[in-house]
Amino acid sequence: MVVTSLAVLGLAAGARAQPATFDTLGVRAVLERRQSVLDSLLLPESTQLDTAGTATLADSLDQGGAAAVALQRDSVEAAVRRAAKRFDLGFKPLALTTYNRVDGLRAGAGLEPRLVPHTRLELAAAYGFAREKWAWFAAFEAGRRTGPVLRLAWRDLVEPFGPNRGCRSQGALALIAGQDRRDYLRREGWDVGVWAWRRRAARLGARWFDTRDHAVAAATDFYFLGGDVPMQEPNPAVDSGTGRGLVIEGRRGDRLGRATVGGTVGFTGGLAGGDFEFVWQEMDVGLRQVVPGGTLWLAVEGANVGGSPPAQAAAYLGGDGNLRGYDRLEFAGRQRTSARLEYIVGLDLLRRTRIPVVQDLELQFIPFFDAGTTWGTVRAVEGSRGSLEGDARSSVGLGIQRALWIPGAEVVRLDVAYRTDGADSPWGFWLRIVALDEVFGSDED
Amino acid sequence: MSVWRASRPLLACLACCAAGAWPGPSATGQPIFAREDSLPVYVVPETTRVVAARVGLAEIIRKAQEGERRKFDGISTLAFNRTLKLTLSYAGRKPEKRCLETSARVYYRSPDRWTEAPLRESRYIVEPDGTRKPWTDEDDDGVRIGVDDGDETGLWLENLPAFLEDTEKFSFRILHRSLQRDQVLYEIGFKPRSEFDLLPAGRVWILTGRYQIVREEYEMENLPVPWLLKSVDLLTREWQEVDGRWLPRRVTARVELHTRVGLGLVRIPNAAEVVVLFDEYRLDPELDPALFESGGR
Repeated sequence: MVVTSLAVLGLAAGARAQPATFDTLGVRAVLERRQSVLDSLLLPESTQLDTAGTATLADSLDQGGAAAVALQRDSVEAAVRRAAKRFDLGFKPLALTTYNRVDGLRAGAGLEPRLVPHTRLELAAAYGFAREKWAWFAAFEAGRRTGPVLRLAWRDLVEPFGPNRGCRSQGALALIAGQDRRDYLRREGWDVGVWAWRRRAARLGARWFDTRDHAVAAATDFYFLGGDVPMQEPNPAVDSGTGRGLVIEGRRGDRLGRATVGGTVGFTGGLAGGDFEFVWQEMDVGLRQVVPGGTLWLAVEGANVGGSPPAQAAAYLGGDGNLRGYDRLEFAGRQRTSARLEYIVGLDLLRRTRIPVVQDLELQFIPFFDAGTTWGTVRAVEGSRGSLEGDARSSVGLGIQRALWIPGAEVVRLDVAYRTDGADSPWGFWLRIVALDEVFGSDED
Repeated sequence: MSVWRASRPLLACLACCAAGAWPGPSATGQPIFAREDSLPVYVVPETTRVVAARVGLAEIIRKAQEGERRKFDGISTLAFNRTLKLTLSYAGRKPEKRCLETSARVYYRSPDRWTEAPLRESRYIVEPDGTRKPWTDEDDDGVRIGVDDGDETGLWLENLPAFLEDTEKFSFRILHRSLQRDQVLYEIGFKPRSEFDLLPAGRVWILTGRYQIVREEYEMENLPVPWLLKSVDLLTREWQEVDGRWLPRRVTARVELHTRVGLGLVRIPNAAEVVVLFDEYRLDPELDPALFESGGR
């Protein structure tokens, strides 16, 4: 029998039940012993590397410098590969493709060719079969992806507004089960922005925009399964008009994602012109802390809107984005604050039950608590109940998630929320498929 | 049963010998014994016990973090060979092993410039009887298997392993100690605290001279893409001492795959093994600055 695992030999971490022991072996003796065990487990082909002559070749490259290295690259046909990388058409077959109650099925495709180093072009177009309109998007970037980078973008798209941006699986769930849990407007126009940093953990940039918003009506309520779902709800009308102004966005977090802070300030109107005149500020803080048995995640955010904001720019509360269990855009105000606390249980509780089948479900439980309130009277979309004037609303619930590990759909999660304000139908459900970078409720679309 | 009884004078004599108080010359005519007093006698008053507290596990981990962060301090340039071998094992009607071997010379310039030059690439198929034949494009069944020799060197000097980077996500335990003359080699087991995180468990060997990692062995309990990966095994990183510094020596991994994922359209190997060897190190060599201007990053 061929032993193929370190664990089988009791040499891997599985043997950590044994007590700490000691010897006086030298470090080389210890390492060589482990190496020889590993060598015996690897395939013979893996341990027979052909390194003959490479030392001499390396010496000549070290001595010869850049010219010798360039010659060497050419000699092993690396030049062909580099040339191929220089022009990459970057076909994106499903760009802008989604399903919602305004566009219906929006089918599209795009290109992201790399022209010359440090420049990128994004082109995408899609057709909304229910709205019977084309949507398109184009952007040009110059600079490093992680900044500094200059970005110009043009668009004519139906896109979500308000705090409920859902996640990337929203389109698929809307088509299958009618779970269209967002509200939409059509936005056309351009913006130009400069990002000093555009990393995952640190972003800072300013963007000048000139866009026109339009109200769009729901054009379809088709879905495959279920009934009495958000797909059948009308899309709220927004205020049409041109917004012209500046927005500054920043985000900072530690590399491990234990703490993040983000903020946005912006204005439209005034000297910039346009139909809307208002200013806004938003700030959010996220903290993650490992605690016994799991991880605590706390997110606190606040928003303020001044001037005469259109309905789509009010500070809304309610829905998946900030107060689960409540209706989308249920409350509105000039100021909003909300907090979300989740305890992500790190223990596989079902496995401990030892019940056949159940123990293999690998379900992770996430109890959560959401709370928030709004202040100030503001123009809001039809159906919104207006401001809470500091009267807090909250919900409690349980998230259940399971890893799928399909690229782009790593986790499927169901949130069962209970609103605590004594409403007639207090229960809410939110099923979604989440990519790894969306697990903690990112609002990326 | 015979019982020996000593006489009283003899016992007195022995007692005096033991006490070092042998009687001097006797005027009575009894035997005179010489007294050895030429050897110096040192009197140790009491044994002094020196006690030091053993370094705690948390302190070892903290020092290892520091040691690893400073592992490459002072290096301004670096050059080494990196040889990668991928061995794909196919079963079924046509069992064989396909080998892809690439080697490159990698150059580093402080603080973050990397570039590399390919040295060699070879592809071949090992038949069940051990004979080798070239691995041609026709053997790929339309799916070209290669190794990206692009921007990533696979070796970021400043990167810490996950268990040292985010220590709060792991629990640690000392498994073994090898006591050296002037340092200790700790064997420390670690495992993720959460049973759901996609993080490896394993063991690491830390040498306390400069608190550096000298060997890592990993095992994955939660597999990414479990519909494709059956197991991940032999996941190790070995280090070697070069001019007083511990530098990577070899990285190995083996994955076993679900072959049915290919649906008969794409031939999936039942196992793949990767070995990356690092050798021919040169620390602080004089490097042509132009090396990093094209093809580097």
